[in-house]
Amino acid sequence: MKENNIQKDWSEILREKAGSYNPDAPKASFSSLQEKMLAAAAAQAAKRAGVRRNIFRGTAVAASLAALITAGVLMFPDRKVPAVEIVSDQPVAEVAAPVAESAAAQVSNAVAEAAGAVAESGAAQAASPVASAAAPAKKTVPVSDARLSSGAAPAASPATSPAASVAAASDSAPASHSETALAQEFPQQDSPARDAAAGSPSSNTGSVQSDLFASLDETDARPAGSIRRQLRKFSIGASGMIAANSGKSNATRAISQNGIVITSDRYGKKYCSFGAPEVHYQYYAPVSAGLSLRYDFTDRLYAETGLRFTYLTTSVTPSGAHQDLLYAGISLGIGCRIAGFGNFDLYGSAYGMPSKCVWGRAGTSFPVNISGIRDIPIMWSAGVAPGIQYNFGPLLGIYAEPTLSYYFKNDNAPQTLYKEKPFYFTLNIGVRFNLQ
Amino acid sequence: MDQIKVLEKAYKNDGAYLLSVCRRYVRDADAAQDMFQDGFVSAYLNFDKFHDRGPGSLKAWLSRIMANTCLMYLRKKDPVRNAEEIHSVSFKATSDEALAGGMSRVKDEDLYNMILDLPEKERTVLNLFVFEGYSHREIAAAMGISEGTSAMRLYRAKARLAEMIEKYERE
Repeated sequence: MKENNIQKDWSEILREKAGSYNPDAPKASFSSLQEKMLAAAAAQAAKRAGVRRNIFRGTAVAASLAALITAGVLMFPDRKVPAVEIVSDQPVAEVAAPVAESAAAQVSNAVAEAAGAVAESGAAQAASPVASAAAPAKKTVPVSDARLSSGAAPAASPATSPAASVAAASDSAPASHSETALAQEFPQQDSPARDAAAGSPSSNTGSVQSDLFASLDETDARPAGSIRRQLRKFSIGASGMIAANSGKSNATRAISQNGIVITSDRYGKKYCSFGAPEVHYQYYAPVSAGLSLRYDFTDRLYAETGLRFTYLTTSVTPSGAHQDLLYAGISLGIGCRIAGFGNFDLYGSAYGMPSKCVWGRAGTSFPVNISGIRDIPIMWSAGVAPGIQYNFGPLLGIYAEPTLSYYFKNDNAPQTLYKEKPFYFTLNIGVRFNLQ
Repeated sequence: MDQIKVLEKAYKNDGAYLLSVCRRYVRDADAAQDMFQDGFVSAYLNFDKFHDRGPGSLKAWLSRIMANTCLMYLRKKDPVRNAEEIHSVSFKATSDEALAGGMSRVKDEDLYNMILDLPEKERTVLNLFVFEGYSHREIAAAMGISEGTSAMRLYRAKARLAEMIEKYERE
């Protein structure tokens, strides 16, 4: 308590004596101060409006991308046809023939018509000596599909075909009965269809269907001659960026005594009336190139990372000094394939990217000097990019990605185009190599 | 417009005092003038946060705004603010009573200039502690340093002032 009083004594004396001494008077008149205050208020209002505008833009972009992806999924769903894939060491004709016969014989009226056509083509292909083993098996698919979905009666003779056995099993026929039927039909086969049909005692229609759907082949969902998309693969892309608004972009700034840019173009004039030097920036179109690595999680979903170098040049008048900065950024994003048309793939992606300045130089008369590369803060950006890729073959494709990026504001960042225009539209064009 | 009138009145009545507040933090006279103007702009933009609690409250509020404006300037000017100083200088222990006695014998102007002669970091802590009434915890939060560093800087500021006063009295 005593110590507090003593402390208060010396600090009170200091406060009274030094606090009452006012050596200088303000230089600026209040009218000029008022002008500055009003300009700052206008700038603040504009900034808030800009933030609201940016939020709106971001929301609109995100909503558009979501709508695009949703529309793509709804309009171009994979034409998934349930398939029973029969793997057999037996000659193709031996496997396909009983399947086709049973399909024609067992299904009723409308179902039989649909199945019959497929069965005929299946039999025809099976009869061909060059037909692959997979082809007739796939052609039996609509038969089982029709039976499963229409709830047709169980097969009259379960011993006649595997498709019938599938139907029997899915219609709650005793498992032992189905197993017997399959054993009779394929005494020496180890077939997925048989496994699917017989299954474990607990297997039901749902599990059989999921097994059937699990054996889908993406090739069936594409037009003839299209490039087959391969799952769970890596792909490497090399791209360059074309700035949508290439050329020069201008802005006027006022620089305070400590070298800090204090206002923007729109409201700069009022600030400049206080004597701060006015400079005029020119931003050159950024040049960018990079490499990316993509990994497919599923048929649609993929993750992508990449290394991107961006070269930013700013000049200032009247001194004519230049500032050149080279940023290296590591992007990380996810994307979704929306649709495929022939050899074209349509996709959309979103990414985030921190970029670090790795090299830079600035003229001595450049207003905002950079003391060192280490002092330049990391530039964070995020963006969305719908893209289209043309596949020349299974290994090579070219792509174009119109990209809308947002560069997060940082007051300590050097004067660059991205600081001036946080929202920036570019077009990435590149080549993508698929790795098996 | 009422805000403008209120601030204009404060400018006329307390302008010199508020400028001296800036000057205590930012020793350079021109930079202090800039801080004074920026402080008034900041006051205008944040005037809705001012609560009138009677005479002197606006002056105290503006004084704090000036101090905060100067602090922001100092932080931008010296971003490496968390570095601890090396204790290479030793000070003679001086009691608070002796310091208070010495201060009372020094002219106001000279005491003011002694504060300006203190190293920037110590001067800032002293200003915040004595004139703004900040606790060490508040100073630590405002300057981005630890409470211990704040206390150490205040101790060193006091010791330097004691030395200056001793030298002043000898001369």
